[in-house]
Amino acid sequence: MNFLNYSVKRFLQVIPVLFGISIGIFSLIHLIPGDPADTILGQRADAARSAQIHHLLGIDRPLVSQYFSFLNHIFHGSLGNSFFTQQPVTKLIVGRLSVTFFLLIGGLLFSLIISLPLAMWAASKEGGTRDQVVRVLPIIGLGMPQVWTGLQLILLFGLKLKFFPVSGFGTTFWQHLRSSVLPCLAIALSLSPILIRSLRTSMLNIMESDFVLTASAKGLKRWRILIIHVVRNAVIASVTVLGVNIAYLVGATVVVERVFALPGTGSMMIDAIGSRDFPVVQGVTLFFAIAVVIVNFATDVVHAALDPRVVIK
Amino acid sequence: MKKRSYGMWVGIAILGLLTLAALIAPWLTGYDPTSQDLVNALGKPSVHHLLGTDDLGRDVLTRILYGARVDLLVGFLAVLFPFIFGTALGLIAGWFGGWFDALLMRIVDITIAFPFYVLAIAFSLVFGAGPKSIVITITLVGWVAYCRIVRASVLVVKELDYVHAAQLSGLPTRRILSRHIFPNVISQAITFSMSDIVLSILAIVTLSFLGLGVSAPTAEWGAMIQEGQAYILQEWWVPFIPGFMVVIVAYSLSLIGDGIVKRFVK
Amino acid sequence: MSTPFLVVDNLSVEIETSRGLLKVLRNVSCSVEAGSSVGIVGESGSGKSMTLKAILDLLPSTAKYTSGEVYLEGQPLLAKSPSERRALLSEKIGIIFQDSMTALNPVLTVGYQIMEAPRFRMGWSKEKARERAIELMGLVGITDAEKRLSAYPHQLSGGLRQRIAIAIALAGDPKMIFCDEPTTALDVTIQAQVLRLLLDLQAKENLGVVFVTHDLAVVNEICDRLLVMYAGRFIESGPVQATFQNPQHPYTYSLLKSAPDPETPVSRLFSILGEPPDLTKPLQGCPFSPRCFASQSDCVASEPSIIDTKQSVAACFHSASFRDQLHQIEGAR
Repeated sequence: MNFLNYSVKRFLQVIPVLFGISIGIFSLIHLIPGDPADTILGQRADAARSAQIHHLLGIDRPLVSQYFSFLNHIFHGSLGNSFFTQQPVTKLIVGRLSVTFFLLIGGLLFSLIISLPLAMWAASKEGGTRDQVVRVLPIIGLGMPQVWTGLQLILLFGLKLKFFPVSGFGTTFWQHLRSSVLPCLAIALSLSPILIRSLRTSMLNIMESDFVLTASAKGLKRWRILIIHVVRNAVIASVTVLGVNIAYLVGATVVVERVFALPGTGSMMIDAIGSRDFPVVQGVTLFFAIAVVIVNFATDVVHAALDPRVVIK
Repeated sequence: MKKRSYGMWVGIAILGLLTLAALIAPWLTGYDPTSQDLVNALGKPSVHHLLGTDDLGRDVLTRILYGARVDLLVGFLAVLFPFIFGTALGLIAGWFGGWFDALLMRIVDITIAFPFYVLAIAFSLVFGAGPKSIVITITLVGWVAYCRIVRASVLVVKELDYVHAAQLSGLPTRRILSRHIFPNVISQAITFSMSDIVLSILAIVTLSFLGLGVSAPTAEWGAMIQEGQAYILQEWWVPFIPGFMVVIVAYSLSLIGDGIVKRFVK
Repeated sequence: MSTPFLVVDNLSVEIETSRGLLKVLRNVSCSVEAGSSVGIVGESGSGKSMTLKAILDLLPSTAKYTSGEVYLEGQPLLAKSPSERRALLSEKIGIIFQDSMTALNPVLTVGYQIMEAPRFRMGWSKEKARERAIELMGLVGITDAEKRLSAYPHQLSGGLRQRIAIAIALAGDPKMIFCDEPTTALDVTIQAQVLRLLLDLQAKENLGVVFVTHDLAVVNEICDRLLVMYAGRFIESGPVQATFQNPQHPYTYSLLKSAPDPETPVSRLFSILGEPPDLTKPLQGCPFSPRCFASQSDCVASEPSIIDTKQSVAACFHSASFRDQLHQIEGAR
């Protein structure tokens, strides 16, 4: 009952944020200094086309009515049509989702596989050599631009060792997997420094806590103490840390898609900049923002399910 | 066995040397960062070109130094506005609380929902590509971190006894804030700003790589990585070195940040 | 003469800290008979908690044993492998900590944590362990035991949690229970209840108790014997009542004097000036001498030590005469 209670309350908190996001996205086009039509059309601007754009964007109507029609469109699942291809933006996004999904999930998994063991390893002896090594890694890792890391991975594993393809996504599921390895690794190398720091602190707190001592004193086997007492608390801490960094993960994915020439939502957005395809840019931004909010919500709910202490304030 | 903390000085030395080199670049290398020399394109590191040449025959070392100017400058400047705004807002929200705080926190929640790079890319369409739009994006998004850090600190510090004592003795709020609260919350903000500078530099480098930052032929590390992409197999150093410079700068900044923490945070 | 239940022989422990190597325990020796109750008192940082953890092999990863041995029912523990050591210790000794909130795993029910040792170390069935858990909860004075089994630690009050902690410690059927300042975080009425419970258990189950605290009043209530700790070493040992009436060490004397007695009005409060020594640095002579009102030249030259016996002994060169010196000083005011 407590859990349902929490989920509902948490969901209610999400709603104003979603509205806020919609306002933010809505104001994107109005932030453009000068006539948005000029920026959008660039060199192709002329009176007739500008008027078309104005009408298309509905700028000739009062602000509030524009906003409501914007909201209306969203509720009906429409994000407008691409200037470039005339196709509905929603359809374009959905078409590219699977790639981005692969990268997000893969990147997350790889990050966890790298960060969690390292954090636990470091925490097992605070201040020891292994701890010092693990503390230096994030400093170097944070300084590595994802695009650069991606390129070095391409060089080493793609071109020189030829283990993995260096671009494209392939057609079969197996090819998808192979094509995802290097990009996900690049994402993971970018996210892990952040995760390692937080997780290490959490692990230290857990491993040095009295309840682990109590468990030891009871004479329980080490694996039991590790799994039942340490890991469960560690997972809870990890969920929190992950939730907080979802936006960062999305950002890294968008950039990495470009480096590896993967046909995902992120590279679609970057291409849209070149072709000044405003609806696509706006649509993808909205999509990602909503995705982050929903994932944060889901993380909080999972956290509440695992941790009996959680209550809404 | 005590360890002397020389780390901070190493960081300052590295960063200082790099900044100095960037400033006196024209006298240091003698090459122009944009003049092409196609005959000598993609040359290996040699006596004439210590770091080799890129695909248009331009001296890599010179471009690195000129690139440092852009990246370091943008990196530092871009952090200034979020620092000031975020700290100010955090101070007010933490101290006064109430509806202002609640409203501000809602705005924070909304802002952090947008992944930074997604926004940066979107803004490059709205404001036009280039360092200007990157700085605007960083300012619009970056203030949040400072706001939260400072606000959290303020919430803790304002419950401390000596603050209660100052209030009881009738000190005006402005004075309490500036003399008692501010000095104690600022240290965390400063520490964070070190890693924030790293993030800003990463942002301009990455966005330039994507073609949304500085425009050719300006020398800039991200652009250099992008230009060198195609030659990565044979002339690997062309895309490697600019990225490596970022790693060095990031490492120095974190050494400095750690040093500040050890020295000034009790 | 039968072997004492627990013998600590010349035990020393060092901890690596950022400030240097901290010698937390310096040649600590004592012996505890089965079923007896011993109090260990001292200031924070004197090494009291570390002594308990050192005996039970619960030291942090940065700690190291540098000398000595611990004998449990005659068996040398440090000579054994970690798993053998753990097996022996968990069978015989239980422990409760100061903060029951952190001593209990927040994500497991209280019932599970009580049943853990019987089920997974002693191999009992779930039903049998459950019955025992209910029994134990009754023993520690918890009503509504069946309902409480499925509660989580954060749902219970401090006093209740501490009782659960005691139940957990008892579940393993130990002969002795170590208490690391378990009542410090509780308010006075609850503290009294917990202490009464411990006294009960001592009497009914012949449970040995080693009670670490900085509160002399508590020791007075529960313990038969007193060990006073200072700067990582025992500096006085003796029966509680006798030591309270007639302390043999200037430090013990000062401790007793500085606890104000509401029935005896004084014009000034007595306090011990100065601070305990920095254990990362080598010590010269008796570690208490800088703060001792009775110190003389031989106190700085070498460090006195005690051999723990059932009599009253103190690690002081001048235990016989320090009271005279005090009177001299007080008379001179």
